[in-house]
Amino acid sequence: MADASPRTDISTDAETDEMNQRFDSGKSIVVAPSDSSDRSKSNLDQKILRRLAQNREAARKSRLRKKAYVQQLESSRLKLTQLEQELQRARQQGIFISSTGDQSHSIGGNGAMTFDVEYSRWLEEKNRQINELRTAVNSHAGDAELRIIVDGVMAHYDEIFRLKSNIAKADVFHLLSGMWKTPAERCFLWLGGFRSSELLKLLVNRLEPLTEQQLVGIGNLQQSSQQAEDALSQGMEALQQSLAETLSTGSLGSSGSSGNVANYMGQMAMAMGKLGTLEGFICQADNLRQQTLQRMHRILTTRQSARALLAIHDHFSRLRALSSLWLARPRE
Amino acid sequence: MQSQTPPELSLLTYLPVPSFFSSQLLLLLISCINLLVVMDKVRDLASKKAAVIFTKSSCYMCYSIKTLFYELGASPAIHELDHDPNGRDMERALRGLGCDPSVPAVFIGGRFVGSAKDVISLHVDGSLKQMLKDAKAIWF
Repeated sequence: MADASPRTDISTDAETDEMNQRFDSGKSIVVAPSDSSDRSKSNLDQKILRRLAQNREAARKSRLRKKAYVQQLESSRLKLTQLEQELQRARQQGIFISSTGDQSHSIGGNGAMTFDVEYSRWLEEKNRQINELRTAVNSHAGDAELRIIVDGVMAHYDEIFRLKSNIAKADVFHLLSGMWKTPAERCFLWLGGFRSSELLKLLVNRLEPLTEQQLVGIGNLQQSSQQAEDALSQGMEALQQSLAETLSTGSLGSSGSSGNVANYMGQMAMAMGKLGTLEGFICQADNLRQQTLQRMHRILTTRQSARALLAIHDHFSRLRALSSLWLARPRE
Repeated sequence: MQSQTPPELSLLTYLPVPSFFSSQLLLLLISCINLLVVMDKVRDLASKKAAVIFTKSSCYMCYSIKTLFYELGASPAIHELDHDPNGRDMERALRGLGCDPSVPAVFIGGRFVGSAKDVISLHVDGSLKQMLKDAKAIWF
């Protein structure tokens, strides 16, 4: 009797097969003399046949279960390596990851983590767009094609500013901390992002040839963004000073009197009000960045804009690469 | 800041008040007139100098915008709403003009320009400087 069970690669059930074969051969030895059609003998045969069939069935089921289990293990292993890679990537970006996964940061933490995930997705899309742009520029694509890709990149920038304004309402300190950026980028952090005036300084040399009018335009833009940055910085400093003063007024000595408690509460209420205005500063800083990028795009030709966007991206990606090197540096 | 009944309400004591509703209508009418009067005052103040900024002493964004104007060489007239008896009404009037947040509220050449976001956008554009030059708030 041929074994009808499906073939498996992981068949270490050869012994089961062998046992079945032995039974088969045993059965043939037993069957032959049953020509005498002895009742008890044929009952025994039935039992043996049934037992054999059950054995085969059980062996088949066991093989199937084992196969399913191994498949499950393999897919889990794949998932594990994927998670490890993500973790490694996140660690490189300097994001704090607790190994026990404690959720001590309640509302603010969730918003921050969501933003970080959204930001990394935004970066991936940006990389894709920039590669497309680079290919187009290197292959001397026409203006029409370039314009489509450049417009796409500019629209993509609008997206990050929208994401940032959303998180600014919930957790302005996460943006201000720059923890969503890599360490080297954090060096240059200004009010939760990059400094437009610095970016323009980097670009001017890379964009030649510029017409006289364009040079003047870019120069004015650089000056305007510098002035706006200074104004916002000074407003921030005044806010910080005022916050420090609010928290330091009032007597430190005598404690417990109701007047002091009321004082303390009043100070805290004032300080809370002041902290609330930070969101406005981040918003204006981001508005400045967005307006500067758009103005730059308007002054330049399509081809120049393409080169500018590539240069900007290269600058940040080098900072990110520097951060990776820094984080992987050998330490004593 | 006024904490007693505004002067308009005290007028009611001199007028015969037949019913509850007509007194409510009267109140509405009076507050409309009040708003118009205050808006007029705001516009009047706004046209007194080439550059005028309405602020609050506690607002640090106002500080930033003031700093920007000084940096550009303008000397804007500053009106602090929290130190003006009609401050609350003036704030309402500014909001009515579409200024959000109500401070800083910037006027150049008597015309309403906007709040901080508008001013920064116009500055990046180069338009702010041109507006200031046209209104003779700056010369170069």
